[in-house]
Amino acid sequence: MHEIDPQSGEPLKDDVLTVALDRLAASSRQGAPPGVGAELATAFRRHHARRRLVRRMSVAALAACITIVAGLLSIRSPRQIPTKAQPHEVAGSAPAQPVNATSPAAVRAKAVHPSVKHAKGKGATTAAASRREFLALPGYDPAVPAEQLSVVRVQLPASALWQMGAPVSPDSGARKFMADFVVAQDGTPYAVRLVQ
Amino acid sequence: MAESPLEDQELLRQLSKGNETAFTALYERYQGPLYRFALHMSGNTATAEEVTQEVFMLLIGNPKGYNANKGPMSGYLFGIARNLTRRVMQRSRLDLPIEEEWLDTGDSGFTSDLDVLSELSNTELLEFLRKAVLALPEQYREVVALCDLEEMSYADAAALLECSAGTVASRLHRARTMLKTKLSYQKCMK
Repeated sequence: MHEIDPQSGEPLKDDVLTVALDRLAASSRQGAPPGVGAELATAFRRHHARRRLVRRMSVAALAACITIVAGLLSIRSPRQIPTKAQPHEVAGSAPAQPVNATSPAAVRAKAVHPSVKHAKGKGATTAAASRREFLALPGYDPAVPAEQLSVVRVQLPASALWQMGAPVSPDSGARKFMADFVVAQDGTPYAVRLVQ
Repeated sequence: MAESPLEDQELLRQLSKGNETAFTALYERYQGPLYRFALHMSGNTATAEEVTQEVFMLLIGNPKGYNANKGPMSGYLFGIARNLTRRVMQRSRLDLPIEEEWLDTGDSGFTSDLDVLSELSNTELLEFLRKAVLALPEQYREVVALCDLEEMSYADAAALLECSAGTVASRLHRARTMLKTKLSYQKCMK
């Protein structure tokens, strides 16, 4: 391609400029000074050292959190006390079966699910049957897993037992009865059976 | 400079994992073209060094900023360098066109024998051409720096400058015309 110089009228060769630019490009083939590369390499190492440190700290923090949560959970869970109660004494989720009230008492038994029979009324169950079977109280929640239930033996006046829903006559007055209560972790009584 | 995109991507992946060898390889591959581009655009070595350093610092800090679907790695890096150069030049007010100064040198004494090639053998005229490139308006200087001095294809330059290849060709033609005019002035001044 040729350009006409408007003032001189002579053609200016495009090749001339191309060669000149080639020479300019060839004369400036330098790159960044070595110092720039060294600084960048240092910055690269520093950046990734920091990144690795942050990652390790994150992992350590996560591990610490998991440990703390596990520790708290283990502290809050009631300690399991060995019981002499026979496994068949309480039937878990099995159908309700009469339970022998004369079996050795378990002051606290963990992971037991009483065979609960819903009371249809305070007078619906005979006293004899109630001495062998647990009767569900109004606070009973079937969704609560058996592992969270405990059996507690207490001795209470008849009136107090009657108020809680136990099958005793309120006329018994101050006479005390021994009863097993199935209680949740928060102390809510779920079921009761008379022992004496 | 047309490196394998897959190789570039693999190097970038390694870089993001902290592999210094990969970083060095990418640096060695691109630092020269980036430095020269910034130098041709700014005419200032300090600016070129700063821009080169900043480009790679951004790459170190955010290697995932590059999206291979949007184009080659070179285009991505040149794009960063272009923006940084503009910013630095605006900050330091180095982008002072000297075209007017040359145009004010008068219009007398043109010679018809423009043997620029022979004259360019000396350092003085080579330096003059460098200044002539620097004096071009930015959009023309960019295409000269990319296509003529860094031998980038029109298509790659177009992708980088976010315009069509035809626009790149047009700007390059216009830039060359301006350079030839400047060379004519220089010749007549001698």
